[in-house]
Amino acid sequence: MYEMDTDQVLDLLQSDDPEEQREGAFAARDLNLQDAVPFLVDLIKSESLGVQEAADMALRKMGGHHSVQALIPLLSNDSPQIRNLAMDILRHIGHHNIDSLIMLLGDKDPDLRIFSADIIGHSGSFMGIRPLCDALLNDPEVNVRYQAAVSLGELGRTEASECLKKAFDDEEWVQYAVVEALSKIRDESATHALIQSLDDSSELVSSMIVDALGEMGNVKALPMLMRRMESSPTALRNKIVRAVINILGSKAVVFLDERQKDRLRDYLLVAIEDEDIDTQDAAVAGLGYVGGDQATSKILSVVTSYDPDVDAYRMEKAEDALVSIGFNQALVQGVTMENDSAALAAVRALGRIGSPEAVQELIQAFNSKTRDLQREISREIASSGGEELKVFFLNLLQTHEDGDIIKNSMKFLANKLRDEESVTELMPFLDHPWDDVKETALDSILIIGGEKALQEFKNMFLSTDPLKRLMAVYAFGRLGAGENIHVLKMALQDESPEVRKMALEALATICPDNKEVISQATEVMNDPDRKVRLALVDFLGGCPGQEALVCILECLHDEDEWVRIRAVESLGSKKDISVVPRILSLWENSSKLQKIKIIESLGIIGGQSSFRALLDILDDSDPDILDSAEKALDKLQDKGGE
Amino acid sequence: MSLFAKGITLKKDLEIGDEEFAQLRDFIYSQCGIYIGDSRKYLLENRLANRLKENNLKSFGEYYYFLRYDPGRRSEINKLFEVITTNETSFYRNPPQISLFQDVILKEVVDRKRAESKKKLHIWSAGCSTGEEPYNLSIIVHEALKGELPLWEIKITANDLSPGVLISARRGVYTRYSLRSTPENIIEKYFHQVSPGRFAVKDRVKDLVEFSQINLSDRFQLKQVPRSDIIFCRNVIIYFDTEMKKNVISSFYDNLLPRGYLFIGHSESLHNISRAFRPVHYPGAIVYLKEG
Repeated sequence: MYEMDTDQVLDLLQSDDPEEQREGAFAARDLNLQDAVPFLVDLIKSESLGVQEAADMALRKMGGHHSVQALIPLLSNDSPQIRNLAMDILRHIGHHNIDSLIMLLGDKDPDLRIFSADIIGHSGSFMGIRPLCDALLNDPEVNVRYQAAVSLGELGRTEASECLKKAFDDEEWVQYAVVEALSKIRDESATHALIQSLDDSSELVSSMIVDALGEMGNVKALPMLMRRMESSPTALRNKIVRAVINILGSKAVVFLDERQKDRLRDYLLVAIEDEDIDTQDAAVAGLGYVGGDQATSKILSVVTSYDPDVDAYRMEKAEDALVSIGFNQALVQGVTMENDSAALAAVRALGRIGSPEAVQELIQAFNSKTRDLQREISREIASSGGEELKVFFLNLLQTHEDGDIIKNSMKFLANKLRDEESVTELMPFLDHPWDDVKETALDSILIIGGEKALQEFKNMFLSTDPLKRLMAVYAFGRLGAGENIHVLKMALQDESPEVRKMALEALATICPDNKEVISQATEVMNDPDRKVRLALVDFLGGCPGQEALVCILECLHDEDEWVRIRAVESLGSKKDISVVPRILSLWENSSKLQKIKIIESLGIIGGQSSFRALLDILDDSDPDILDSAEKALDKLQDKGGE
Repeated sequence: MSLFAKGITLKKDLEIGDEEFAQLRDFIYSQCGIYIGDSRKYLLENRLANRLKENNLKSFGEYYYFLRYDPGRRSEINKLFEVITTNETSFYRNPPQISLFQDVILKEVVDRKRAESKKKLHIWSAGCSTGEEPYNLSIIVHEALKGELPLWEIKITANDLSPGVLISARRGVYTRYSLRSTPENIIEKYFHQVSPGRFAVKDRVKDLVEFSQINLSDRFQLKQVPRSDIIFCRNVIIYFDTEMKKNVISSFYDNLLPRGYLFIGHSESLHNISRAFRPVHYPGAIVYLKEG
């Protein structure tokens, strides 16, 4: 890539021209030129931001012991911008020379001790724990102790828990960092340290500890939290409630006795009004576990502030809670709420509950709701309702113009009722202007199936419109190609290649059971459209017997490479060693891709002739061909070993 | 012939496997530096499904083979580029940026050049898609220089990864939708209607613009672009991973003349990508300055 030698790169780095300096920095980076490190470090001090950045990118990429050592003096530079840049690079490469950074923790300048503690925290190095613990417990400067705690959290190693616990005796400022660090370590000893410190901490630190325990999710924190819940002011109690729900989840119902559940419900009804969203969400989930009409009302009331598009996840959680509480009058009233979010949540919850009374409430509300809610209601009851909704949905098909509602109605009639009588109602939707409606109509009719549907498609096959004939042939494939074989034979002669191709796809589903179709299908062997010939090879691959094999062998001489490749693959899948010479006869005039496919097929077929052919291919000079041949041979040897 | 939007077939829908995704992701990255994150796996599956159908391929693994070994792979790779980059753009897209270019940046650069008696201007539209941006810049330059234009040596280099969009860009014919934010007097002056609802850019606008294919991941290809006074690269670097973004922006820095300006997409930022530029804030838009 670079034709420059070391001297040229070093000359560029020492040039006065910023553009040459940048070029030198990128060349040093790409050549990993360690001799360039002192010059690159010097360029970090350049007044040109472009030069500075090029040196920065080079040092980060190159890293190394010398780069770390050369950058450390910049931490004392008068310019805060240069100090920060050096810090940032060292955070990235500091682990290449951790000893030099540890030594810096003993420097007389407290700023340097803070910087080195910070960088060691980013190093991921186990070697940093002990020196950081020393700094945490013994450094005279509070900001150094604070940074040491932060960095121990960054390292996240359990070995630091003990010294972090001791630092709870330090100033509150350090304690914040200690709580944060222990929450990152997360193990048993960290949980224990936090629990032990809860009683003796200030309200602010206690609040942080409660948050940390909630996030860590260790059930051992529960007795202490429950005890503190009773005696804490509202703000802290809300946090404790959140932590308890985070730890317990749905097990709250099992772990707590009735009295505790009642107390928790009372506290949750307060916490749901907390201004912190995480606390609100925990309260919603908690109320779902402990239940009650009042809980439903409160949840719906909170949901009024949700935007269904932005707060989709929160909506889903609220719906989960409402479903968990179950059917009640508060939920029924929710459907009538003017707020769309709350009404939507109530509709979805009733739909998911799916009891007859819930479905009945939704049907009653349908006509008075907005289009979006009607869509929701139709979707929900289509999955939870039964035979009793047939008239309702047939009526929607005739009266509604909304695509979603029409689709939901058709899905219900097909998936739920498999109602043959409905086929007549569904057929007109195959001419609907919207593709998605048309698609659902076709799918629904085919799910219902039956003689009536088949007759409709037989009539459609006579259409002059190729699209309709295609749809009909597709339907014959789905409804049972065996019963419609005579129509499919006709479809093979259709003027539209898409119809001929679809007919082959349909016939492929019955080939193993009906060998007679092979002779019909091979009539398209010389079809002018390559897609049809490809479909033919695909079809023949799924057909057993000598007749299909002979046809595939003929396809090896097709003018289209992909037809030949598919034929090679098909022959491979049949594992008939007699075809190996025929496949190999293609080799000389094959493209690389075709050769790779031949190799793969030989690997599948196996046998001595394949093995010998693959060994010969190992003389090929192309690395991709060689690689494929080696893989195929490995496969054969594995098979031999079995 | 396609009955429904997705086409109709009795075959099962193709799904991309983890290994296939990794192969294709790495291949795409190696070809053009565009990084497809894991979260966009299904987007890739969706966008490539038609390529597989078009080529009658059975799996995404085969598509990978096809891209590597098929004799027609070069043309397929270009189609792949078209599919993985979205090209929605229009004239006068993001008005605050366009106003900033027209009323402040171009004026400053032109005034400086006049003062230096160097009437030469180069603008680079990197990632020009179907040509709206470079033609738009040409129109604005025409409006700014008016009768003085023949005295200037002006070039707008317009590049894109996809040859397909460049064909369309060279043609320079647009629908009303592409011109939805363009003032009527500008349409009258710089376009002529070729058929109902279709407007062609006039030759004098085209004359300033030179289109060619470029791969922004190829640093040496970027070095061939003449030094620029202003670079536009809007909504392009979003496709790159951080490393690639840094390399591309660094190449733009090297390409810009001192006191040159870089425009990136209004929702893009150079935060954590480059500190070499000085961001200059204006109402509704930021432009990045290479200090002299």
